[in-house]
Amino acid sequence: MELHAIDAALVVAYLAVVTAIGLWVSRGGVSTTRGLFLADRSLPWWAVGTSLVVTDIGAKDMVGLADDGYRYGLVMTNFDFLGCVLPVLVAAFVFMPYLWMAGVYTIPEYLGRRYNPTVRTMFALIWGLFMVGTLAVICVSAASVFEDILGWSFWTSVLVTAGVVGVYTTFGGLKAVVMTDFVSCAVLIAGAALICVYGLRETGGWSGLQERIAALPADQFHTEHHFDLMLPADSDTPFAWPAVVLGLGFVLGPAYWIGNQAIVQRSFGAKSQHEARAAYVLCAAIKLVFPLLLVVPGLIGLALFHDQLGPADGPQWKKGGVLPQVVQLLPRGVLGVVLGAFLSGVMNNLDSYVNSATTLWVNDIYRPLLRPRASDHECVIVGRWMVVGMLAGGAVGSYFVRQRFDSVYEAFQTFMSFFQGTLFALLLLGILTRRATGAGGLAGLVVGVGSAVAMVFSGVSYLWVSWWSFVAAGAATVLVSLCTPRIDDSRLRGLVYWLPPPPESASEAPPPSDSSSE
Amino acid sequence: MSMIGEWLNSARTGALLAAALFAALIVWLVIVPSRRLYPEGFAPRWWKSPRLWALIVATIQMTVYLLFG
Repeated sequence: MELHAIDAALVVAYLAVVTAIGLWVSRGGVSTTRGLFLADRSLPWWAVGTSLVVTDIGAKDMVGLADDGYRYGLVMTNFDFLGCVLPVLVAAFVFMPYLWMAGVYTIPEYLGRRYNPTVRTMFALIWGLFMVGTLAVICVSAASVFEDILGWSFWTSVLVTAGVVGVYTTFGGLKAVVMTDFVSCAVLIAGAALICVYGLRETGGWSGLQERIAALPADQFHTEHHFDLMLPADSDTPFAWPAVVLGLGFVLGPAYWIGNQAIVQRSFGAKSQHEARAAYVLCAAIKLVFPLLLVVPGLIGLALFHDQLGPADGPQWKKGGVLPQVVQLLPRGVLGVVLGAFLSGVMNNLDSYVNSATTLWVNDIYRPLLRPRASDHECVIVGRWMVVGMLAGGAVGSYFVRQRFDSVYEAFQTFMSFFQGTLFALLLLGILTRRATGAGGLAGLVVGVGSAVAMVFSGVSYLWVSWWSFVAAGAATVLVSLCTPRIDDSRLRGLVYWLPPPPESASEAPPPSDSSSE
Repeated sequence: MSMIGEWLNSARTGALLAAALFAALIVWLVIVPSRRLYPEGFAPRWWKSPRLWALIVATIQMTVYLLFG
């Protein structure tokens, strides 16, 4: 595909605006870890809310959900409806206040305080590896579009993406990341909406889309349930309703929105608990419409480009190939906006995960284990170097992701399923019960992650892996906790739902009146 | 397949369960005391209340599952 000058100009203009905003926000420099990782707790709710959205939805989702929308249809919207809106609202009112009040930088840090330092270290190491995997997934999704639209090779696409974002992220810090995310969220929504509008115009509207897909040979394309929100329990796909409700609704979704460092770190940077809660609700509201904008392009691709792409199990099928086909429908100028949206998706995802990965490595590994006496300045420098290391790891890992997985979305969810069930079980028991002990948490971690690894390598679908590892980790934590001495209540104040912090220690409580939060 | 088996297999059952999860959240949001959500003396104006907006969002999502699930 040839990129017209006006499209190229729009992309360049977009990059210039985002970079200028990032530089303006971070003027004066970031010299402390609190500034670099928590934006000095100065972020407003609207910026945090939109940043939550684009930290979750980025290039991997635009590419991956278009692929999966083509293969499975509207059932994929559950990843946002059931897997996001519900847990985000639960997180806003039940979990987030306790994580926020604990004054921590990372989820492992919270787990360390609630259980013991070993749990913290082990989770930090697992998270660190997951972050590298996620960066690899983002690089692959970027490459699949750049290859088709710009004609770059896979490695050129990966290296350019990692390089550009690396420079941007090294100096930005969380504040720059979140404030640029606000602009990017608007561009991302506009870009996704434009793809749907032009695509649906081509198919003859929604009814035309349904008619075209219904006319396809069902035995080849398996389109019987493409317009259903839920699939029967005996469905051949990984998305039968019990897997969606139990695996996604009860475990994977809540674990992601309550325990994902990249997500939760944004709320830690909010001005107050009230603003953090408002940000979560804003995120949920945006997520009411966003999933449709990402899945419908897949259906449009199926209706219009099934001859070129073929069935998902056929020889013509190309991973990440649906979106590049669909964007060919866009006229000059509009393609520039969509490419800008895609770039913003790449940048937001990448800078968010890199920033969070760095926070983890510095806060939970480097400082407590390697250099307990490291100064704040030293940690900032180490953090910046780790950005480079993380991106290099992600670039190398992208080769394996490309070889191993059918879609980038599946790769991302599979990586998460290794530990998200376990993490959620530990957070749930840690925040909602006083009885969970350090030994119990450690046992839950080992059993949960161990069972997840065994299931993944046995070929179990990632939704079921999440559910059963959650059950295994929860059972092990409860069992061992009941056999070990309980932790004194005074140590758990402010960490457990039933034990609020003493008033004198609630130094970072929300503002006392509504007017002060305006 | 028995009637219960058919009902359990049906996609509609999944949609109803999903709607029920949102319904449970709505009920909890309505009955939870303000002191559990806000610190002493903090009362946001109604249009800035996260609880109200969360109720609206959850109701819309529950309706989607009931109507289109």
